[in-house]
Amino acid sequence: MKKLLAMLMVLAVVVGVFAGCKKPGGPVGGDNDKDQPIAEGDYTYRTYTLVLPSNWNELTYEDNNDTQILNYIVSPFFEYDYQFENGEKYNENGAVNADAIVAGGFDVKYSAATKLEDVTQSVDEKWGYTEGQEGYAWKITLRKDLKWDDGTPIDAHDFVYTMQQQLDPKFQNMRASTYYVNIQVKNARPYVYQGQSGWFGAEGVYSTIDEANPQDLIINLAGANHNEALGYSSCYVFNYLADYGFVDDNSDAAKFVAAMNDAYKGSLSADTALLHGKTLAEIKADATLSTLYEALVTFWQEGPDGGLDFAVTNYTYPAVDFADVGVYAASDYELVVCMDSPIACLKEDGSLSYEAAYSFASLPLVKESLYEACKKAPVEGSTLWTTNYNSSLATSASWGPYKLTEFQSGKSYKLERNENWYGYALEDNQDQYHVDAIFCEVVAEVNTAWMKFLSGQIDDIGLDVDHKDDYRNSKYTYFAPGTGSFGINLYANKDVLASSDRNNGILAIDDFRKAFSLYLDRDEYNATCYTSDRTNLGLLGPAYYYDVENGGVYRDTQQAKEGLLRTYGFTQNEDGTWTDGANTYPSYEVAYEAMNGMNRTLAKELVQKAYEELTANAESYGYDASKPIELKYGTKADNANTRRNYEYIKKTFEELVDGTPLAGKINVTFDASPGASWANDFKSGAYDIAAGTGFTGGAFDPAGFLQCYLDPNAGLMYSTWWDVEKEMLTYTMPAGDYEGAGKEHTMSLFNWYSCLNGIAESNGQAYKYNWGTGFVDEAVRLELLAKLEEVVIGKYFTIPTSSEYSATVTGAKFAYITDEYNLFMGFGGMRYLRPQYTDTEWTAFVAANNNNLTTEYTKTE
Amino acid sequence: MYMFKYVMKRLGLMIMTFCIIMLMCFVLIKLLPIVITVQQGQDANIIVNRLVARGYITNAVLKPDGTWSYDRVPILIQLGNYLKRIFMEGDFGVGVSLPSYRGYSVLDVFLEKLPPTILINLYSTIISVPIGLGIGIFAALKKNKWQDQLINVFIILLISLPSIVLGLVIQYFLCFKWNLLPQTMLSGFDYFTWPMFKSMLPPVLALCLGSIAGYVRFTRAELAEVLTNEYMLLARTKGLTRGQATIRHAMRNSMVVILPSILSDFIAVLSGSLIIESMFSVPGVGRLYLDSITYQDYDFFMLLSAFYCFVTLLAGIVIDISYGFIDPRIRMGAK
Repeated sequence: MKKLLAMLMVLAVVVGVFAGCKKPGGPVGGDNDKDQPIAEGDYTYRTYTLVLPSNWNELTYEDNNDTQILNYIVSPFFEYDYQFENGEKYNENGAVNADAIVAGGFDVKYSAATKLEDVTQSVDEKWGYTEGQEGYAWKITLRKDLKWDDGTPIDAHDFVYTMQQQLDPKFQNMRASTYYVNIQVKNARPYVYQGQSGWFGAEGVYSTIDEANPQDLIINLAGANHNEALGYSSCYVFNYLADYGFVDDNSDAAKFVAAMNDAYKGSLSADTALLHGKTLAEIKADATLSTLYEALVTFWQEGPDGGLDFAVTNYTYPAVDFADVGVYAASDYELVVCMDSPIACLKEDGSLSYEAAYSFASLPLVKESLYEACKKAPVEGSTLWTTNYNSSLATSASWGPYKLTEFQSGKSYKLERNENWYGYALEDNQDQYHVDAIFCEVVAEVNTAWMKFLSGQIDDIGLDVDHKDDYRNSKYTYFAPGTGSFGINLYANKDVLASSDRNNGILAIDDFRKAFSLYLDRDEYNATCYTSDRTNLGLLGPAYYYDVENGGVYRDTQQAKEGLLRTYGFTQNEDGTWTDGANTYPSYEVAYEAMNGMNRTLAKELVQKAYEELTANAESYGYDASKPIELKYGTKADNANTRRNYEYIKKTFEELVDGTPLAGKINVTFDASPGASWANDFKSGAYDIAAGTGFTGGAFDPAGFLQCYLDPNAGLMYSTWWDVEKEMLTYTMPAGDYEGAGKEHTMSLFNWYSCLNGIAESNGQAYKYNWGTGFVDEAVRLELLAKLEEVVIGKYFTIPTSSEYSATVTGAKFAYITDEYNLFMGFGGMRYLRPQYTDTEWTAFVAANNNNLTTEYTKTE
Repeated sequence: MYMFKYVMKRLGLMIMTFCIIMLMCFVLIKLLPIVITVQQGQDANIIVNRLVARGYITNAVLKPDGTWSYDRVPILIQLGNYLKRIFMEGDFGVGVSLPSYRGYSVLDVFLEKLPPTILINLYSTIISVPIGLGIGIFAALKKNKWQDQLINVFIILLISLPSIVLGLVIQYFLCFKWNLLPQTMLSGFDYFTWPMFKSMLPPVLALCLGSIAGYVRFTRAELAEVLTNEYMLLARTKGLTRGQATIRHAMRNSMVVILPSILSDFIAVLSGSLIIESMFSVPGVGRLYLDSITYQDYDFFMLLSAFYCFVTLLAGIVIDISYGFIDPRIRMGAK
């Protein structure tokens, strides 16, 4: 969700500050003694990757793979660290006090910055902040010893230069949006968009009707088809009504007027359609049209400039001076960032909040002289400027703990300590960053990677399905939860299914999809198909925090648990106990523990019901009883993993219908042809079953995560046929002291989602309650979140199955400082890694084991 | 003169064929639909604007359903721009969507990755040809004796096993179990050092074992047939030793078939072995071509298509001409 922010979080894990160049003496050589400092020696960490990054440029990187070098060559302003009992981070001998690490705790510390101040009230008036506003403008004081790896000093002007390059419209840099989508820097978007031309909804680019140029505004009442022919996209009002389903045939202005009449129960004249396609100038010049226009705007009454809502305009974003973009240097070492939305970077006591290291950890930085030399003018037929900055050894610059020293495209890279990194001199980080070099090689074949790992040539390996039985219980295997929440998506668009030649209309029947959900043994499914993913019955896995500072996990709340119980058929008795129909449980917690999402008896009954529905309305489902039902399992690749998944789902369907009239009639087929377009193909109905699909990210915003299921504008929904802007939900909000409390509301699911996230107004929703974070009690939000999760799962378009757990087998050459996984620190990352052998000792150790460490790595203790 | 005319004619046809194939490649790859995929946190405007700015699409419009409509820039205009870039600026373009190579000069990447592929296949050929021919000759001379039968057993075994299995066996035993050779090719560009050569041996062996088997079978069959010809009897009756007759007469005649197959084998392997390169982490070109289509990376696809097309067409001519050198009775283009 916030890719850069996620990257910075990872950075916070791997980047830290090293204890000068001094490495106190102490034992190594297999003695995993956490209480001793690490001895001098050469420690090379060897790892592998499937694909090398194409660049490590903060401005342009495209995906997480591109961050594998980037993570080591940049530095954060603020970073997470372990929390230590009584603040005692070090033993008397200078070693990190591993025993004092507080499980689950974290601190946020200054790194490249030394001070952070909220300057919302003291910045220039031009930024438009009003009295009482906080958290919109921040002044970051930088360390004065920041340097590039060649010793060139870094100051605040470098960050300002970089931001200008980041937002330069000539480059259309991939990560520019981070600074107007995630961190909303003042005027960042207009700066990127400047010079762009095209048809836009007038309300999007004007705040008031431009009386000086009424010829620019074209009234647009017809729908998309007509608009496309004219070359401009729809206006606000059309979209608004279309969202509510009032316009089915969207190609005719008269129908649009009629539909709007229905929506507002107004009395617009059919002649209003005459306005369509006319400029505002033409309308104002004609008395009849003017009258119609006034009637239309009065009828609409959305605001003083409601006419804009009906208009489109061919607009060119005006030029923006970078001086009006909200990043500037107040002095050589003071950087000010002004934003459109606030971030609470400081706690009440003035210390750094988790947000400082999560949302505001850093700003991009490029080395000016090198960056300028790497710019490339557009080639023939193109207008796009490009750069090869940070894409090879010659074009690389680092201001992080490591620097690139070797790079061979498609083969390998090597990072070595950047001795000009400020962090090594920080007192707060003694006895850390012992790894001198990181060597990474492309190893695309899993068997090759395992042989290299078992012969001590690489120091970690991801546990795969084929090896999990041998290494799952190894003392070298570490499991880490992730935010990924995955499931099986079933295509259910009745219109498309009915016309499909696969005779698969039964998927449009809710009971059938529910039956599959109730029949699926998720534990067995995960054990069969995935290495380490665990059963998850909800849309959100166990890594979503609603209260970060206090460790509040959404999945552990009463609201979330009761929501899932209701989803899977449990009911609460009057005495407070819970029942699934067969057993009674004394509390929701006991019931939750017992729940596995299965009810195979009910599943069979539902199949019978679905069959009856299918045969009774065969025509509407496009069902032909003489033909088998084909359910196509689609995927992007034909490999052992996808085959395994397919086989399990096929088996489940076959067992599900066994003993029912559908026995032997369902044929689940495999199709890997969708390839890279697998997601779009599923959304269009090219196949019916998409497994292992889901979303990841947004760990601290569980309510926002629902955008993946309830926000059609986010473009993430798999069930695109489900019109969440039409689907209504009636629900009584919990009592409390907030707007709308204790009342029964009926609104669309999208409206509910928008209210929950405090974006109902900006989403143009009918009900504009703001129940976002900080505006209502968190318990209220949890109730609503659980309810929406229940509703989404209850459609059975998505069958939740798994939550992400990654499993890594680490080599014996290095050890983590703690076995406890920490959300913010992981297992300590490269920063806290404890070498057990020098490179020379390791070679001897491996040789002593006949170059085969299988026995060692299968040890459980 | 006949030969010269023939070669000129073939070269002319080759250039024409090359141009037609390249035109088809360009049009076909450009006809594939452009999928506009926006990931979480990305701005769809930027994704689309990049495609517009690169000159691929125009008139991009966001539709009410959240998808984009656009017009493709006419393919002939794109072709014109592409040719202008190549001939006026010598620029074959940059990678756009191929992971690992986005923003890289496609020519630089190709030239950097070609040497390992060529070397591994060259070593493989250098090893497999003499061994294959030698064993093939031996088997032919010992036709139907126990030595021939023994060789046949091994040959059938090697031919039956796909190179992936051979690679796995070599990697497991030679590299992992007995630790005789490195498991993956070393990094770096010093291709002519002993450690680098040693690290290339596993993929070379994986490739050449299959080739050896092929050459043995081919040589044995051809030579065995030639050895039974009456002119071989005549050669012996003229007083030539068996060795002299075999080398001077039998081998030369059987080479008419064998040598072109060696040439075509070598040219075919220039494309690299996807599986072997992947297994031994050889930074070669094996995967590039396939990936360039999968990821719809136009410039990579066109450069690689041009290279392979050119090499294949040239190989056809070279092989045809080689017949004339091996067997003087064959005169290309003669009436």
